[in-house]
Amino acid sequence: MSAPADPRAGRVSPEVAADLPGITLWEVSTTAALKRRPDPGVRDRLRELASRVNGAVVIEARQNEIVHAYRVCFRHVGIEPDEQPTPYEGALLERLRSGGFPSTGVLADALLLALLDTKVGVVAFDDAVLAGGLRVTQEAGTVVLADEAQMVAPLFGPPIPAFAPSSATEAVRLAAVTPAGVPAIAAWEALDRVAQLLAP
Amino acid sequence: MAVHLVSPPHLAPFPGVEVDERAARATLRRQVALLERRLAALQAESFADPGDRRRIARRGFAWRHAHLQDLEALESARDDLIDRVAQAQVARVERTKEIAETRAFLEEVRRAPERYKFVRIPMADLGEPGCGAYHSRPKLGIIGMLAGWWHVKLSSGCP
Repeated sequence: MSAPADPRAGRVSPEVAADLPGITLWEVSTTAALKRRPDPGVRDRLRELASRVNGAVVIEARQNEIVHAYRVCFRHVGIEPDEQPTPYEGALLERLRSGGFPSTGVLADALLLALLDTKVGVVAFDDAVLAGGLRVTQEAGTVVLADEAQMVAPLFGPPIPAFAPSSATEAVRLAAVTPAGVPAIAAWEALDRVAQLLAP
Repeated sequence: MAVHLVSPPHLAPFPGVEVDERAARATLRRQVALLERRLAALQAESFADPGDRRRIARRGFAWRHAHLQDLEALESARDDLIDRVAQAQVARVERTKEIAETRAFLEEVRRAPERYKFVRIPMADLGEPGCGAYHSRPKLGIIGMLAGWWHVKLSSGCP
């Protein structure tokens, strides 16, 4: 396929939907060329974004509506956002710690760039190893992202290694779980951004 | 902004009356959202000290799993936020007072810099962004020091 399909809304189990009203899962499958060097334009963009981050930006970020929505959702699921930061805040804090946004690979760069541009976290899976569509559900008392068979990632967390893309992956499934208050358009933009950057 | 809190009933007001726990959890989630917004605003006002921000960045993070919260857990989260908002409000008042005192001191130093030789007042202590500082220094180096000529200079402070 030359262009990614439109994002589709994934399933949220009834008990999760009842306790986290408005939580939405968006997913899209797309082809990916991961076995190549990162685009210099992406590296330049990451460098430019890194130059704009300072301590004040990090603290003020929590007042952004999308970041606020994630922080509230984190609290609603028992995660203290000042101990386990939201995806966007985590990226900013890492920038303060390491001094920049280094380019670390085609996939990592794409996910980071989409996150910095939209504040929506996207997670990528190897489409070939997933069983069916994704859903947000509970497993052993924990809220997780799962396919038809098993858990593939903790909520808002990175994929379990067995489901993560590798350099040999040719098709990826991109997923964004957004809490209430995050506009759908932000999630679509994030998914589209990643898909465009991964395209062969 | 005053936050009007409604505590969900732990006990039925009348024997035999069921408590709508779902509604109570929804109320608590709304309260948590309001308090989070308030806390974020107070923290944004208070974190003028670059040292605080660097301390946050240096702290590592351990991954935590998400769990749906029961009534007790949501109440605990709400109560914890109430305490933190109160602490942040006190901290803001104290910081405002400290900044005012520091500004008054800076005016004293400007009026008579020769009485406050080599005194340094960082911008952060004045509630200002940036890493510069006001510094009482002799004019013309050693000549000024011997002649008693002092002035206050603002250095950028940036490396």
